[in-house]
Amino acid sequence: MTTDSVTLTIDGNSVTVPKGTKVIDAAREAGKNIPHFCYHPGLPVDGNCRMCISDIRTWNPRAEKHMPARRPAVACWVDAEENMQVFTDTPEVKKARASVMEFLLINHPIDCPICDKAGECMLQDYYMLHDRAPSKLREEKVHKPRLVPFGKRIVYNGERCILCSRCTRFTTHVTKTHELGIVNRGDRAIVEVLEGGDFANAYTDNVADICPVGALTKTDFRFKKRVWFLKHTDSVCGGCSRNCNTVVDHDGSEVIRIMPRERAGVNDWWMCNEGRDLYKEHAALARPAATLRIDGLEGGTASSITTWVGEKLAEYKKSDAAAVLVSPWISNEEAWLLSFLLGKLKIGHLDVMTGRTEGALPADDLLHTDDPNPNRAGAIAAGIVPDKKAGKGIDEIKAAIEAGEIEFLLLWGPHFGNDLDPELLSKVATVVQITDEHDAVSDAAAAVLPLRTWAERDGTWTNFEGHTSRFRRSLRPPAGALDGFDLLMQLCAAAGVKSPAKSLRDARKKLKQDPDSDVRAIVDGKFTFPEQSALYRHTSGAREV
Amino acid sequence: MDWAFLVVAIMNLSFVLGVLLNLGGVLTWVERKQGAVMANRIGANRAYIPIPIPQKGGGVKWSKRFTVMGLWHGIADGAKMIMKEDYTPPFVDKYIYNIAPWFAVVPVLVTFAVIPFGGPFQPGIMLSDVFGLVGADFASEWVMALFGERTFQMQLADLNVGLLFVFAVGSTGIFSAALAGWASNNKYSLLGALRSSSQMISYEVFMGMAILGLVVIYGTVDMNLIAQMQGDVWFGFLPKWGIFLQPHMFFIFMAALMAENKRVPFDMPEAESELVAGYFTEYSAMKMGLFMMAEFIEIAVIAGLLTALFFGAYHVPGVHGAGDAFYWAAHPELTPGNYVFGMEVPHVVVVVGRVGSFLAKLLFFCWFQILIRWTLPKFRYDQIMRLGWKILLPLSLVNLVLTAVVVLLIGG
Amino acid sequence: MGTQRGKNKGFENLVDGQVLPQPAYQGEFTEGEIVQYYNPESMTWAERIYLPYVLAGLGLTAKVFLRNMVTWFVWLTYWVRGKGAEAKRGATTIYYPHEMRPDFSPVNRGKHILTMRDNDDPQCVACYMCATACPAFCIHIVAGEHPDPAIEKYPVRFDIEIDKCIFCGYCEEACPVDAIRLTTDVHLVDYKRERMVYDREYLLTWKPTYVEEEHVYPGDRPRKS
Repeated sequence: MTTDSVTLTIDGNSVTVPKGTKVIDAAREAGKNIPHFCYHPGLPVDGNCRMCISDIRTWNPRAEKHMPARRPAVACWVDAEENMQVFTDTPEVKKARASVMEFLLINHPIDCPICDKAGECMLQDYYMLHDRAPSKLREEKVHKPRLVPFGKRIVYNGERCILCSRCTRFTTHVTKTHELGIVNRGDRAIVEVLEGGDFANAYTDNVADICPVGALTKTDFRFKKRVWFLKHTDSVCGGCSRNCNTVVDHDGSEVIRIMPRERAGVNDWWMCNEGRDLYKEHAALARPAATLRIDGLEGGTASSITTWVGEKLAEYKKSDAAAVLVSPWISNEEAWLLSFLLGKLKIGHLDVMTGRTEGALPADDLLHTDDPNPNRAGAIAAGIVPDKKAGKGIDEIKAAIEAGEIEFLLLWGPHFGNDLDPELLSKVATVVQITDEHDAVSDAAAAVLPLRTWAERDGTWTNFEGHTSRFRRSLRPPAGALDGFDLLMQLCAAAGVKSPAKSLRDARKKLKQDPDSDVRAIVDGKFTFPEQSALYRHTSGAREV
Repeated sequence: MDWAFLVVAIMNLSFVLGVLLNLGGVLTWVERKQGAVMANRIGANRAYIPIPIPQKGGGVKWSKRFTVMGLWHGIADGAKMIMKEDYTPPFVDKYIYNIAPWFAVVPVLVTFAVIPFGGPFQPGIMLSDVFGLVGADFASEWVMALFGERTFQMQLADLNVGLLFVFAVGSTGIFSAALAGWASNNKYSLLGALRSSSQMISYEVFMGMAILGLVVIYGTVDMNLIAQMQGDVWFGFLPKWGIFLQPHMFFIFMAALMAENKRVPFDMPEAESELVAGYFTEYSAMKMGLFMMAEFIEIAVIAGLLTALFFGAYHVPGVHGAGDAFYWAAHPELTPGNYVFGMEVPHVVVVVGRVGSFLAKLLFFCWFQILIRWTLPKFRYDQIMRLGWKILLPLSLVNLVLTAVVVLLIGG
Repeated sequence: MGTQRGKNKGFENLVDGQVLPQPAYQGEFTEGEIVQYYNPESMTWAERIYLPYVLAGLGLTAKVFLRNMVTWFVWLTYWVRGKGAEAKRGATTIYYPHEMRPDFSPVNRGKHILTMRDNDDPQCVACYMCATACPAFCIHIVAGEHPDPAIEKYPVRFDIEIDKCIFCGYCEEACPVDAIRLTTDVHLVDYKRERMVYDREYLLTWKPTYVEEEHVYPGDRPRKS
């Protein structure tokens, strides 16, 4: 036994945790969820809700026995000690929790029918688990301010609030902006925005996520959909190179909201407001159609155009007149297969574009980075770099286009404007664009192939720190939109190059084993459901795969 | 040229066709409505003639309540059948296909020609009475000049082979089913045609046998004479109707006639549960309508035959006293007189009474046939054949022999 | 074999729950004997000649016909006097679109209505409980922000696809604010399928179609006291 760790038993299960761990964390480690409202793993301990109350018995080394607790203690406040015994569901503990629930519900308005939190509300869930008793209160409930706007994105309902102080601790300790505070005393206590201030930092929506009840709700999601109608798909935010792990809540055809997913080392539990609004940008995207503008070959289906592009690529084998520019929104698997294909064809003029710049935000300490593109690091790691011997980088390609040396240009992705003047492209004989967004080039390119967006396909992105996250398909793609990896497989077949991977899954496996690739092991977030489905959905542990 | 005879013939013809064709339409409504009443339902009631009702505040509201108990359904059906597309399938034998419906209608209508529906009458006296009542003396003189006191029969054709004519013409009805089924070039139609041929031929055999008993008794096949003879009375009170002479044969004869009409319970040729619509499966619009019309007119014709042969034709029971109008009808050799219960009445009353009596009986038998149609379940095909050949035919043969023996012994 | 026939007929072989093997056929077969495996013909002579029973059947239907016709004529005399509703009719059915039966059970589940607040706004708070409970997925709600902050949430649209509805009453059960009710009205017919989607405005235009007692209004269920 080292001095850094302690071993204790939770309901008879032994668990070893580092010294200084709270009992509630140790219980999570042991797979035991102790109910709580104010405790949050990302926030400092407050211990005001008393819901995590448990029978905690410390070991008395002198008497060589466990000291019986004089009263139940809150598990989120007590440090784990060596040889400690914790009982989380004895009859006494259950009775104590039922009493806590009764107190919390005394002034709660029970307006679940009009509350957006209903369905993922901890108060609802714990009421069903621990109380299930009718209210004993016969007097009128305390009335507090309702529908108080906290900035433009949050609405506060004081009657629903249980004063757990999660939101105030978030602004104090996470964003360090100190906008929120609890004022007044007793049954008049409410959360308020600092006088004269505005609740307008870039992470305000997180307080609605961590609010255990419906006191803080998002205006964006307000009355849009009941949460039990939502389908949840793991995804990754592409708003910046942080790659916050997210859950896309959708109904199959459109995204309703985006919520953060716990991922230690990347975004922990948080997410910025801009990332949450990314779905609006996605819904407004102008989608291209498969087009071919070559004399005598107009029209054509997506597959025939793909074949034509592949054959065209093969024509430029070992040629100096072909160049490929890739958007930093490409997934790792696609980048890997594309670089493999171009390597086989000996096309060396290959680089990652600057990509999107319009959504750039100033980098801060918490999440924001200055690169509003998700996968520059991953694309470069997967091999989207100029050939070491004769390859041209993006600036040299630009110069070559100006000089009229490039005859064939393949653009992967829509965000070329920051690197290339659209008029410059008229100097290129054949421009092929594979994109998920219709833009100026799509109207003039010789061939356009529609691509599925991040919400419509599977893949991985690697953030600027080298953490790789996986996004999954959540929406039904529009008719004709091609999966990027499938498209590359067809291009390989048309160009006469044998693909190194049989499928996306195969590619992901090979990508991990590729010694030349810098891509780390694919890390994928995983949901854990401690007791029931609605709880902890957005604060699940990450797992290495 | 015998103008008087021609005018009487036209009068008779209009009356018969008017009665038959209208009955053919009305009976479709009767069939529905009677079935409904028998089943505690309301029945057909949806067809209406819209009646504009001006509203108080201006404008017109069209009432849909003028349904007259659904009587417009017959008209609606007719209009629908006439206006529907008359589709001739490409695979049929067009000539035979097109004439087959007429073989269904014509024999039915022609059969009624020999049925006496009113007995002897004197149109001169009758019409001059009527015109005299309304004060048109010149018309009275004119009809008297035309008809005098001549006596005519209320019958389309006073044939001395009357009953044979009925069988002869009725038998041609088979052609319609057989030709329609054959020309349709359809399995269901052909099966329906085969069934109808065998069924109708089978039942025609003892239809003739069954009625032979009456013929033996009356000693004639002249329908007019048979009708006249039924005006006699037995024991002073019992009318000498066919039903009292040969009651058992009435049932057999009626069964045979209904089988001829191919209606439930003898609807083997149509058998919608098995053969779609039997021999007229491929017919549409008014051609199909002709088959249906023939069926409903035949109900009236069957009722007329039964009335004429078994129920004293136009005689009214109870009015038999010597010198009474109705007694006189049975004895044309006596002096004609228009007496009812010893009182002299205008001739027109006698004529209307006779014709009314005939129509009342005819309508009763129409009702009775529809009652049977809504009461009895369908026979199976083998049951029909067994009933016809094994039971009804021997029964009618035995009856013929016994009747002949009895008639010989009693001496007619 | 000692079995008490008639007492436990058909279960002779069942002893203490055990099924004993069927005894073999004990009779003797003679050469050329035809064993009848079907029921003997059980029709009487009168039944086999049809006629008496045909006449009996005709008599029965004729009786019904005449009875109904007499009843109809009696009804007609009442109708002429303008008292048609008082007389018995010769049919148990009714002229459906012109007449509708008033005697539906008060607990019959039919057309939905939305109950109203005092100002004729829907009482519904758009909580989607009915839409969630609906097994036919026929309720479609779009929620909106009510101008009155005390009400907060209300249905901007509330559509019921009445042709999909199975009238199970779950929506009524699920509603936390008694906003949706099923009335006894079952006359839900139309010529156009589009019109079978009842929107919020239509569901709010209800009026009592059948009021038996003073306190009954559509959707009220009799309560057990």
